[in-house]
Amino acid sequence: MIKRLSVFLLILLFVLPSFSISEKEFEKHLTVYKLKNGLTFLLYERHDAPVVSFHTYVDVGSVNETYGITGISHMLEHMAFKGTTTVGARDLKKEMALLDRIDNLFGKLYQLEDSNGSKEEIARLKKRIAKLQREAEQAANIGEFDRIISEAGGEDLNAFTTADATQYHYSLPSNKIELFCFLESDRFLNPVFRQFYKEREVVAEERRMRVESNPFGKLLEEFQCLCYKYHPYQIPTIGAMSDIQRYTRKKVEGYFRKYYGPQTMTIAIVGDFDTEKLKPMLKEYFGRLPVGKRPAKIVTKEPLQTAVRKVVLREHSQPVYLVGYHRPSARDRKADVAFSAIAQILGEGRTSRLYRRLVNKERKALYVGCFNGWPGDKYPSLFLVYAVPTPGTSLDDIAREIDQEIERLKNEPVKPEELNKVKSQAKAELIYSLDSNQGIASMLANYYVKLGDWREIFREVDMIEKLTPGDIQFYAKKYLRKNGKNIGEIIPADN
Amino acid sequence: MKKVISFIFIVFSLASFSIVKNYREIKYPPLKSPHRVKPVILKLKNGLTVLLLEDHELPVISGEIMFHGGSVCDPEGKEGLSEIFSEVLRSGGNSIMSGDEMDNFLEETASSIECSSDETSVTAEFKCLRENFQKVFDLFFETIHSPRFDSKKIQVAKSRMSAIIVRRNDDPRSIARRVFLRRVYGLKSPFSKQAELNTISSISRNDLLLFWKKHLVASNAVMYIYGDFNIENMKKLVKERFGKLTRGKRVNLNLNISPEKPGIYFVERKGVTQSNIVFGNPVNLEKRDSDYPAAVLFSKIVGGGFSSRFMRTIRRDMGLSYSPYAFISVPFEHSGYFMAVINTRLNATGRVIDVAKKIIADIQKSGVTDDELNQVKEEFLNSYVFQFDSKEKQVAKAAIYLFYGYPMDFNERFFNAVKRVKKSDIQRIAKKYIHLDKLVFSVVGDSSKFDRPLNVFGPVHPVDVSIPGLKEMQKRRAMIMKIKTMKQKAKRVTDKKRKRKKESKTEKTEKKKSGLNRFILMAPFDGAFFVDFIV
Repeated sequence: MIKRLSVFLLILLFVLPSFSISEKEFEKHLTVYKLKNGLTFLLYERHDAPVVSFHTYVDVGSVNETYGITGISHMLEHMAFKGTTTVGARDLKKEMALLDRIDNLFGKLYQLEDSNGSKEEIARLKKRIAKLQREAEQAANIGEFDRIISEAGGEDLNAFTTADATQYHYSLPSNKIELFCFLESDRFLNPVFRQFYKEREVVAEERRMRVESNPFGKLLEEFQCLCYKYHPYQIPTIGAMSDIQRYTRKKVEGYFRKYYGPQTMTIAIVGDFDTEKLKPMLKEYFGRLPVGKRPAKIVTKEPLQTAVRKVVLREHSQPVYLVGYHRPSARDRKADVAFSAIAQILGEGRTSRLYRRLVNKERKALYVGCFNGWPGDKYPSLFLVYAVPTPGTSLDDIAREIDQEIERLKNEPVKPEELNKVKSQAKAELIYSLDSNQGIASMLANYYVKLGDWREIFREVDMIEKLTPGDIQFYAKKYLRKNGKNIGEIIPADN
Repeated sequence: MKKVISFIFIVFSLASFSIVKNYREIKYPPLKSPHRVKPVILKLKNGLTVLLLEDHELPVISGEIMFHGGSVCDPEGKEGLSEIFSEVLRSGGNSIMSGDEMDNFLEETASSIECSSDETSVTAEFKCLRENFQKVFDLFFETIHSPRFDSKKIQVAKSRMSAIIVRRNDDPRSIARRVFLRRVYGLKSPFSKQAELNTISSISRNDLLLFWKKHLVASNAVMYIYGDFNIENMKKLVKERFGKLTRGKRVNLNLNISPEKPGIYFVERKGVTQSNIVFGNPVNLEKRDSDYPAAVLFSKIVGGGFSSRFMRTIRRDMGLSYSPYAFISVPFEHSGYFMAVINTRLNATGRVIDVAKKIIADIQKSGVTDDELNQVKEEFLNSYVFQFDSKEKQVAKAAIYLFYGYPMDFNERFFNAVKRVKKSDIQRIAKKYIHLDKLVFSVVGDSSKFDRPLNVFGPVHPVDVSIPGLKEMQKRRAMIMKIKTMKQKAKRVTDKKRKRKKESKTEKTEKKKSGLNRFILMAPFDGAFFVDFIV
C-alpha cells in the first residue's frame, strides 16, 4: 500500500505546479504610492465586494524601549483609540487645561508617595485628581473614535503591539474610504491622550491577565529575559508593572510625537476602490503629517551564547517544556526560509517528526510545536520548540527526545519527501492567503517594512523551492548548538 | 493620447480634492450593492441536502458536512465519546488509506481534511487546490463512508483526551467559564457532560462504530461545496459518491436543561493577581424566536465591543478590567443563557460585581437611550455588507440555516427584524430574561485578598475542581515510565560498551579536546573576561 502510494505521489509531484499566482498578475492590482513626507501606501485593488481593509504598520515596538519606559509602545497602542482635537472633543480648551492640572497633581502624588508622605494627604490628593478627571471627561466626548467606526459599519477594529512594531487595523464599507483617511491621519496628527491615567490601569489589568495570572504567560516573560543578556529583545512588550504605573502623559506623548510619523509608517489598503481617485485623497490627508525621527539604531548584538540556560517555574499548572535557540533575523532570507522549513519538518503538522514520535507513536506529548521569530524577527531572534507532556511523562524525558531529533537534523540530511512537502505547502499557502482583504493587507505591510519589498512574498516561495537537504543541515548545525540552548519549564507547584 | 488624458485627469483631481475639517462634513458616495450568491441546492435520494457554489477567483475547492449529534449524545459513563469519535474518524483512516497515509498525502499536496465535534454537531471539512480535488474528495467521502477506527489511533486519541482532562485547570479563565456553564445548564443536563479519566478509559471501538452508524447518515446531514469547479460535473460526482451514504434518520437530541440553584460557585486559587468572574442565568430563547433580534441589540449595548456599557464603564471610565463583556447566547435549537465575564485585580472583585450588576439594573429600570439604540442599529445596517465579503461565508451560512431547519434567507429576515427593534424592546428583554436576584456566579481567585467576602452576593458554594483519578494515574504512569527508562538505560550501557571497543584513536583525541574547551568555558574569572567586564 505504502509503495503504491509513493508512486502515486511521484506522479502527482510531476504534475503539481499547474497553477500559481504569478508576481506579475499580483502586481497588476498593486500600486506603491509614496508621499513626500516619506509615508508609503500599498494599494491593492480587489473588487469582489464593496468593502475595504486598512492596515497601518508603525515600525516602532518594545525593542526600541529602554528601562523606565518599558511597555510604552503598547501603552500608545491603547491611546490611539482616545481621540484627537476633533474626534472626542467637546470643550477642548477647558479639557486641555484640566489634563495639564491632572498631570501636575500626579507629579505631586508621586513625590508624596516616594517620600513616605502622610496617608491623609495622599488620599486627599487622589480625591482631587478623581474630581478633575470627572470634569475633564465631561468636557470631552469620550469614546467617540470607537463609536464613529462602529456606526460606520466598521469591522475588525483593533491594534496590536509586538517587539518589532505597532499595527492598527480595521475594515469599512468601501464608500467610507474618506472616513478612514480623515480618522487615521487625524489620529497621528492631533492626538489627545484622554483618560491617560485610567488607561494605565487597564494596561495593568492586561498585564495581570496575560502574565501574572497565566502560568504560560509567566513562563514566556521569564524565558524572554533568560534568552537575552544585552539585546533589547529582552524587554517584554507589556512592560514592567512599576513602569506602567508611572508613565506620565508628557513622557508618552513626547515619545509618540517623536517616533510615530510618516518616517516610520506604512499603510496597506486592500479592497474595492479606484487607485487613481484615492491617491489625491491620501496625499491631502496624510501629506499633513510632519516628519519626526526614527528610533535610535540598535547597535547591540546579542553575544554568542556559550552556556545552557534554564528557568523553572513552579505553578498551578501541569508541566510545559520550552527550548529556544538563537537564529538570524528575517532579513537573512536564506536562513529565514531554512528555519521555516526546519519548523515544518520538526514540529508542524501531523507528519512532522516530533508529532509522529511524541504524540502518535510514544504518546508522551499532548502537543508539540515549533515557533520561528520570537519575540520578533526584525533582529536576530529565537527558534522555539515546545511540548506539553502527557500525564506521567517527565520533562527530562521529553527534553531528551527533542534533543535527539535536533541532533538528527544536524547529522543526517532530511528526506526529499519531507522537503517536497514544505515546498508544495509554501505554494498553496500563498494561494490560500489571497482570499481576504485583511489577510492581504497585513501580509503586504509586513513584508514591505520588514524585508523592504512586497516582492519578497513571491521570492520566498521561490527560495523555499530551491532549498536543499544540505541547506537544512547547514543551518541546523550552525544554529541549533548544544551550548546555545535556553530551556524553560513549568512544573506543578504541589509536587 | 490616452496617457495625456489620464495625466490631465490626475492633475485635475489632485488640485480639486480638498479635505474636511470634521468627519461629519464628509459626503459619502452611495454604497454599491453587494453581490449575493445563490447556491444550487441538491437533494439526494437518500435524504442528503447539498449546497453547491461555483467560484473561479482562486484555484481552490473547499467543503463541509455537518451531522446532528455531539457531546449531548455521549452515553452515561462514556462521556467524551463524541470527541474521541471525531478525532479517530479522521486519524483512523478509511477504506482507501490509513490515517498515516492520509497525513502524508494531504500534507504533500497542501490539502486538508479535518473532523471536529461540539455539543450538538459533528463536522468534517476539506480544502485543497483544484488539481488535487479528485483524490481529496474521494478521501473526504470515504472518511465518512468507510472509517476504519483503527485501534491504535483510538489509543492515541484516548491518551490525548486524558491529557486534556488533566490540564483543564491550567488556565483560571477557562475554569471560571466552565464552572459557570455547567451550573447554568445544570450538572445533570446533557450540556454538562464532562469527560473524566474513567469515562475515557471505558470507551471501546464498538462505541465508536455505534455512534457512526447512528449519526453519520444522509438524512441527518447537510453539506456544502464551494470553489473552482464545474457545477454539472460536481453534481454528478456528489450524487455518485454521497448517494452511497445510508439514508438513516434525523437524530433527535436530548436538549433539556435543569439549572443549579443560584449562588456563588467559588474556586479558591492562590498565587494569582486577578480574579475571574462569570455570572448570569439561563435564558429560554432560540434564534427563531421573535425576541432574538432585540436580544442581539441588547447584548451589543450592554457588553459587546468598545462602545458597550461594560467597556465604557468598567474598562474605560474605571480602569477595572481589560476586556469585560456580556451577552445573551441564543443557540439555534436549544435554550441559551445570559453571561457576563470580567477579570479584575483581587481587591476590586466585590466592587466590579456591584458595578456590573448596576449596569444591568439601570437598563432594566430606565432602558437605553435613543443614541445607544441608533448607534447599534447603524452599526448593524452599515456592517451588513460584510456578510457578503466572501462567497464561501455566504454559502456556509445558508448551509447552517438549512441544517437547523431555518429558512435559507433567515439572515435577511433577521436583518429586517433588527431594523424594527424599539427602545422599549431592549428594556423588556433586560427585564424578561435577566434575573439579578437569581444569578449564578462563578468566581476563581485568592479570597484572602478580596475587597469584601463573596457571601454578600449570595450563598457561597465552594467548588472542588480537582480531577478524579489523577493521582492514581500519575503514579501508574510514572511507574511504567521508570521501568521503561531503566530498560533504556541498561540498553544504553551495553550499547556504549560495544561502541567503546570500536572507537578509534583519533576519535579519542577529539573527545579530549572538546573536554578542554568545556573547561575553559566554565572558568568565569579568567583574566581576559575580567578586563572585558571593567569597561
